[in-house]
Amino acid sequence: MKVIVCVKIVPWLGLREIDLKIGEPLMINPADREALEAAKEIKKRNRCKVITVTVGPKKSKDVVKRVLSMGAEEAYLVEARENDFYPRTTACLLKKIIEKIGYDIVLCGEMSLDWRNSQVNSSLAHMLKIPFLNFVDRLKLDGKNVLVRQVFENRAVWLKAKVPVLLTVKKNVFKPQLPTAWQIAEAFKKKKVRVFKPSDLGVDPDLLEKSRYIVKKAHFPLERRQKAIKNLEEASAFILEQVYRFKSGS
Amino acid sequence: MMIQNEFHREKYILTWIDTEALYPRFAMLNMLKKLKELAEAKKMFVEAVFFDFEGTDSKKECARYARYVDLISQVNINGGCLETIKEFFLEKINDNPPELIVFPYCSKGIHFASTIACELGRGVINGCVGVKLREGDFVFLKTLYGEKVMLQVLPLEKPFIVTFKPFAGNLERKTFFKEKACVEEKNVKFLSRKLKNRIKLVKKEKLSQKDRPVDTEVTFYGGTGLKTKENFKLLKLTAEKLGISISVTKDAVRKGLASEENVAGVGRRKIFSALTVLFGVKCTYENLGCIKSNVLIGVSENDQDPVFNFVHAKIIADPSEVLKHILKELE
Repeated sequence: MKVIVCVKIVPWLGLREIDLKIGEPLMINPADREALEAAKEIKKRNRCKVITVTVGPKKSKDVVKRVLSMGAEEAYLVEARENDFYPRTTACLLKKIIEKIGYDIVLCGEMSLDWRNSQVNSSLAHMLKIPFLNFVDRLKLDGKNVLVRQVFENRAVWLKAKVPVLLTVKKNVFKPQLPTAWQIAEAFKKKKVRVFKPSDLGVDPDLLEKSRYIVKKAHFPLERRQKAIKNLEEASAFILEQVYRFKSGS
Repeated sequence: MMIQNEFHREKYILTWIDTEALYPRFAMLNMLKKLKELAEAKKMFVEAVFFDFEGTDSKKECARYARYVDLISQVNINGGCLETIKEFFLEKINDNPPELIVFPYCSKGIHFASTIACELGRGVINGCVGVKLREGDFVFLKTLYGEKVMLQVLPLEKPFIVTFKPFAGNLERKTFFKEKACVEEKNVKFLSRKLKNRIKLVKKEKLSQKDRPVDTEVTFYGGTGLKTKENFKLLKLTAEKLGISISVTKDAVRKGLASEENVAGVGRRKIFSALTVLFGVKCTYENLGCIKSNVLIGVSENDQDPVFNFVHAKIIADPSEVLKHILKELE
């Protein structure tokens, strides 16, 4: 059985910058680390292989190696251009690579640290045409069925689904263990990250172009004025204009 | 089954009432309330869809939400699955595309939002805390890194799809509890011990009008720069004429220039308006700490006042004179 974990590489938390262009330093998305921990828990009780899949820039290769040190057996990286780091395009690329590897269970984190949009997971499930269960708290494997628990504010529900299935793991449930120095050294020396390019996967560039939409910060409604207003009439007119503008919500 | 069907406005907001959402029911009502306010500002109507899975007659349940929306459709899908809901939505959207589609931020809501967006080739913003209209386009508020950020989906094509998180990062939950505690004081014996303790705490806080946050679109904030009691009365008069709220600094209250009922500052109520106009406020730490507005306009006589380092527009003039001019123009 193949358990695939989708891992996102995000800008380091300390940067506090919201930008799609990935700068340095980079880190593994914390929610995806929890998904990897859930995969490891499945592996403890069942025979399976844990594989990680990443869509990211060239620079992220070293960070992906860190994923290998955390317990993944194989790691795949799809080197995408900077313009392709949008949710739908990422889902497109992930779909291609996952189909190439073969899969039974696909695990994702709840949301990424930078945009917190939790979009890729549900889009990926839609593209792969497999059942999608999110906010998973506990999971068990029963033959070819997966039993998962979803916890809501006032109740918990156990759900059953046949593999293949896509699951997203709830935050702060599966606490990730830090790799030891030995594990890190071993991962960097012996394990290799398999790198692909979108053209190797046979992705249609037009499809990528179509699936690209941008979520961006909106412009501030009132730009900072450099010059001060000193004329009384102009000042009162300006204040009234702004008051009516905000009151009408335009 | 249609409960109301006489509606002639063309533009509309489509939403889904999920009674089994991640959030309790009052959160859903709060979301609908906010959507209605938005729709009224832009002359749109809100249409909600209520799916009845079990085939029971849930007319009462529908009626609960009906007062918050303009149109509510109850769809019986006895024996149906989530796929049928998706097909229903797609059919509806293709027939008459809405301006905005809003789902609750819950497990099913996130799933539907992204699958429908995939089908339509549109973008989604998940976990919004608010929707506003700026220059005719929808702008979505979301908390990222602890800050409220305004986001837009490009290209600007309709419909916009969002999932709504009613209680993230705002004070409404707190105020809701405060109000609820006041209303349900008589029924305390039926409540759990935790809630009882909470109510006791709320009582200790001495709930009054002055403690509640200012949450209108525009606020006039008056400071000691207004100098006299009469000028503060002028401020109140203009605010009343414009239909907006006013607040005064703690310093002005201490000096006896203004009454205590409208005081705002650190440790007192906060201003959550989108626009705040500061009349004669020097803008010390105490003043800045209570203002959570996106846009600030400063009016002060002295151009060296620290307020001018923070505001978006500076007006260097006597605040009382500016107020008199505004009143003149209003008359």
